[in-house]
Amino acid sequence: MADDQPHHEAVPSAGGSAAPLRRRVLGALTLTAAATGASLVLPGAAVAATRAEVRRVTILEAVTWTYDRRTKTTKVTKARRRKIKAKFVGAKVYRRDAKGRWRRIPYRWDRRKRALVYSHALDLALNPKRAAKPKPPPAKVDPRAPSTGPVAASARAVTPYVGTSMAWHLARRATYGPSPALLAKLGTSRASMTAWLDAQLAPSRIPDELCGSVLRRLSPYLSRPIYDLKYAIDTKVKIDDKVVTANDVQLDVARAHLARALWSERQLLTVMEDFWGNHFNVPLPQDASALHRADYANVIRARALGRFTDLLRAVEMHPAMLSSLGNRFSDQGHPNENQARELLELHTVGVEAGYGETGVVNSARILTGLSVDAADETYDYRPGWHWTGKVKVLGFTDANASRSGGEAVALRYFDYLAKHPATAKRLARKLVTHFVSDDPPASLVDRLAGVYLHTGTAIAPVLRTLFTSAEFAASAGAKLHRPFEQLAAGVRVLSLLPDNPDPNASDPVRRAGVQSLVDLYARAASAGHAPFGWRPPDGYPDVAAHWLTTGATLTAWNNKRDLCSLSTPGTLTCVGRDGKVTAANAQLGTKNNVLLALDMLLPATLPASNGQVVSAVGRRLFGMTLSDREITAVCTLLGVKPTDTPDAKPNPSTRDLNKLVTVLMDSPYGLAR
Amino acid sequence: MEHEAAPEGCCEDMKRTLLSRRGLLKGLAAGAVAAPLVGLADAHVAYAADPTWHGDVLVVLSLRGGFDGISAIVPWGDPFYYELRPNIAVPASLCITRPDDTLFGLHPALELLRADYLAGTFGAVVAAGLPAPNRSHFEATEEVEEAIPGSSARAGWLNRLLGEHVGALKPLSAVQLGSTSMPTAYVGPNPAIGMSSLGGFRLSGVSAGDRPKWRAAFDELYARAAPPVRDAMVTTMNSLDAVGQAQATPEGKDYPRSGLGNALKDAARLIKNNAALGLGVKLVTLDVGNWDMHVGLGRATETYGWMYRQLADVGASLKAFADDLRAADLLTSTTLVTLSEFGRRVRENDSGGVDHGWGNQMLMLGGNLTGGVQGTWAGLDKLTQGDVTVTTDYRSVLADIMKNRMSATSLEVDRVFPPAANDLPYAGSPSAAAALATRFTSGLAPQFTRPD
Repeated sequence: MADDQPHHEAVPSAGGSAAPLRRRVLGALTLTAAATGASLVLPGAAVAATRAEVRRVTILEAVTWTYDRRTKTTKVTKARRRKIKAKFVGAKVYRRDAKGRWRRIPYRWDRRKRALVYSHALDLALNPKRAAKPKPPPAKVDPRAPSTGPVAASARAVTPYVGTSMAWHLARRATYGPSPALLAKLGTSRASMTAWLDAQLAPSRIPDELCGSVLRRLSPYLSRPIYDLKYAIDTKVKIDDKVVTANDVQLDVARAHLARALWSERQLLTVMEDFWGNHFNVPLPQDASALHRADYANVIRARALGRFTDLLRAVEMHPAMLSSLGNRFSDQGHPNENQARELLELHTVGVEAGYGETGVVNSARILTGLSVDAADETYDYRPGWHWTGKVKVLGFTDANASRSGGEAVALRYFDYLAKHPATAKRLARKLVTHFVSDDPPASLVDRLAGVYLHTGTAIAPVLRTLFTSAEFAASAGAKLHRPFEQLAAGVRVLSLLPDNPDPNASDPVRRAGVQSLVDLYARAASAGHAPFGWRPPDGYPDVAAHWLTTGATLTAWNNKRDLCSLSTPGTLTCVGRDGKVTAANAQLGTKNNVLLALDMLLPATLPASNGQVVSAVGRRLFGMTLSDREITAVCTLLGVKPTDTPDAKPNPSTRDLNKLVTVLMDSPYGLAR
Repeated sequence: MEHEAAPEGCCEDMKRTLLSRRGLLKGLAAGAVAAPLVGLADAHVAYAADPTWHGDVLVVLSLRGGFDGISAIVPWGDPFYYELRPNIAVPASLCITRPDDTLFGLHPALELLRADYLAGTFGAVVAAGLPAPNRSHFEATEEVEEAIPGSSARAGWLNRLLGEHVGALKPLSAVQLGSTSMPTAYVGPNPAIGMSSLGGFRLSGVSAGDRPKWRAAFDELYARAAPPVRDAMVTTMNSLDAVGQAQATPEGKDYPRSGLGNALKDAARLIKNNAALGLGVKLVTLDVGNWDMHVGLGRATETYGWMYRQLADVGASLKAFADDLRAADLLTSTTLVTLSEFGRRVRENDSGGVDHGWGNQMLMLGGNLTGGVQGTWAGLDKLTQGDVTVTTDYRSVLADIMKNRMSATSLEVDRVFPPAANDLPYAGSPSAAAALATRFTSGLAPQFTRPD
């Protein structure tokens, strides 16, 4: 709520005669209350208005809000509208407390809404005790202690749509989606699931032939050092008659990620690669980091389940990050604060740690000299660019006396930050938000932070604790798929396979057999969720609230619909009942357009009634039994009676299996993660 | 524009832009280049609103590739223009001029806009642009659309405008037409929706007549979902219905059959149904590419020339759009403005084209414009590295529209265009502006006789 001139704010008159409104009054749910420092100290013009007035006015009592410390903007997400008696003295607002005394409240009059609105900045000014201070390090927690603390019920977005099967739950969260093959591996016993998890946490031992065969169709420069790619571009090397470009290679990074999400057996590794890739976001595509992006992805993948200290060092000193946030140009004369700030704010301790602007300046000084050699575009430390002199960020201090020693100071600084309790807490909260709930249970966050510090920033034990926690088990239904995750889960649940290379095709994309990856990438992008495609440095939002928009919903629906009709990614294949790999959109019958992949969703023996067909497909897709009402609603859409006998295959009762799968995939069953 | 083939004569840089609009992060070399700049208050391009009105729909048309503004709004009264462009200058005799303007006139390909230009419903701001030159397509595009220099926030100005000013957002508050790929200006936390066309906004494989059946099934399937999940379904289905009704209304006439014509026709259909269907459309973005004319820009007498054809499309599209909205009495509550990443070099090159430059002309269409050609013209003998010197920060034009035509407050404008640490003197810094010699001001006393 932006008020032009706060000092002209009029106390509401009893008659309610306000100036004509120039625009619609904002709804209570989206109102924003901004309190700048200026509203606490009123300019001279308003000093005269100190006469107290008591009026009965509307108050929008904030129930939930978010507060941006930097802009001092409060965004009230939920408010209650009441009438109260308030006293106005200038811009100050008072309300009677329980004992009848006038107490100043953190609300200010909003002329446009004609109501009192909450300001968290004012709240902090009035109640300094509430101001967030750096939290003390979490108490040492025994990682093996059983946890309590159920997931907040409010966080469960789609609970009735998710069953109690641990195998399905684990598959939804720790992978890009259940497939029949994956569910078979997970089994039903605790032992089989633990064995699967242990294997996933040591991914290099998992054979990955199918995915490997797809990856080999992409640019060979995906797995080569940066200087090789630089040399190839400089010397105009051609592959398949096409000059190698950095942009093509970086787009292949996204396609490779897509292939891994869909078909790699190393699912948890791919999920974590996505997690860290967003945590250390280097947007893709982007010219500044195009040359380095493939190597950057490899560096993250190699450390995604290792130690965070190693990951942090590798990322902060990687040409992709140094180029993306501009540290490669940072020298003692003009320290660039960009990467230094994100290192603190996004990559490690977070702004609540209280390092302040001085911390950012010192952070930037430490990072001067970490650069890139323009000749081969590899990492290069330039002692001549390093700022020397004492540095201090939070509890880290160093004499930083020599230029040649600057790199070692930076390494010590990275390790200090990686092992900081605020980093432990922040990473734990992000992991719990991703894997457990948009509303992360504090009990689990604290335990994971403890494990992280206890094990010297090892990531795998943190994940093991997470997936075996009571909070995780209780969180079924608390997460929704984001658009790319919906698309990937659709491909996986339908058991769709990569297209086959077509040596006779004139189109090089088809010739290589990567048409489906190109198509699916475009679809993810149109839904606003291409792999690593988020522009700001903070990575894609990981909570449902961001994605429940009309644009994202409709695009995600249509992407899944097209997947079910296979209208565009028509080059995907699947294994039919005869065991042969066939184009997935091969038609089975002449009367209809039932697709092979969808046909595979039906039991081998067709059930006795239409309702049972719907039910069987629901179980196969989501591991859930649909309610009778839902079955009836679906049958009504399909124009059949639930009790009637289905027609014989390949023309089952549903008449349109495509429609059946589509409506179920578009339902909350298809949204649950 | 991602799907357009890169035409001959456009540079390598541009060809890569065609592949990926968001191709490049801005360079972060330390040290800003000082350049003259006019404060926010200096642009007066739109009339203030009367108290009963609720804010215009803002249409932002991006001319991608680097628009040669001086080919469209021709400085025929500046003699250096003909000296620097011996082959491709628009002869003064062909320019469409307002009676009181002895400096600027329209390219003849914009003939269809003559009446609007004379009436003041079509006009331009000259020598506008970024505060400092940036001649890379991607960097300049991002800089223009993020409009938050010196920050790594990477959110677009239209996204901030949505959050700061539009308030209670509806699904169609911010629409991109012509492509589902969103411009950088929309990047950020507030939702905007992309449509390849109005007709393309549909539930795949479901006709309008079948939609109620699907809605009934969804109602049952979503019955137990948490409210935000159910609300997303309901809002999406309702939006499909509302847009479906807008799709059913007759299309405006006389639009050219071009990407721009079609997109503007769809924009007009949305705007015309805005009130009746409660669509809540506030921002519309559109693109037209293919302005990167390094080679063979063409003469103003050649109707098949590259620039001529491009401008004729823009002229015909804008004319049809204006007439369409005028007939529905909506032109007075619509403001269209063009943006481009940069203007072009003034001196033509040896290939009859023009290279990347700086200052540019912003075209404007709407019922409440000041009209004519606005801004400060330093003269083509006062170039910056061969380019038109920017005398009006493009943000000041947008700020003026936001204030006067969208009733945004100063605070909201400041949040949309936050002054940055390494920003140039920005709001209220007369010194920078005063430092610039302003020899010609359009619409004032004649400075030159009209050369033939």
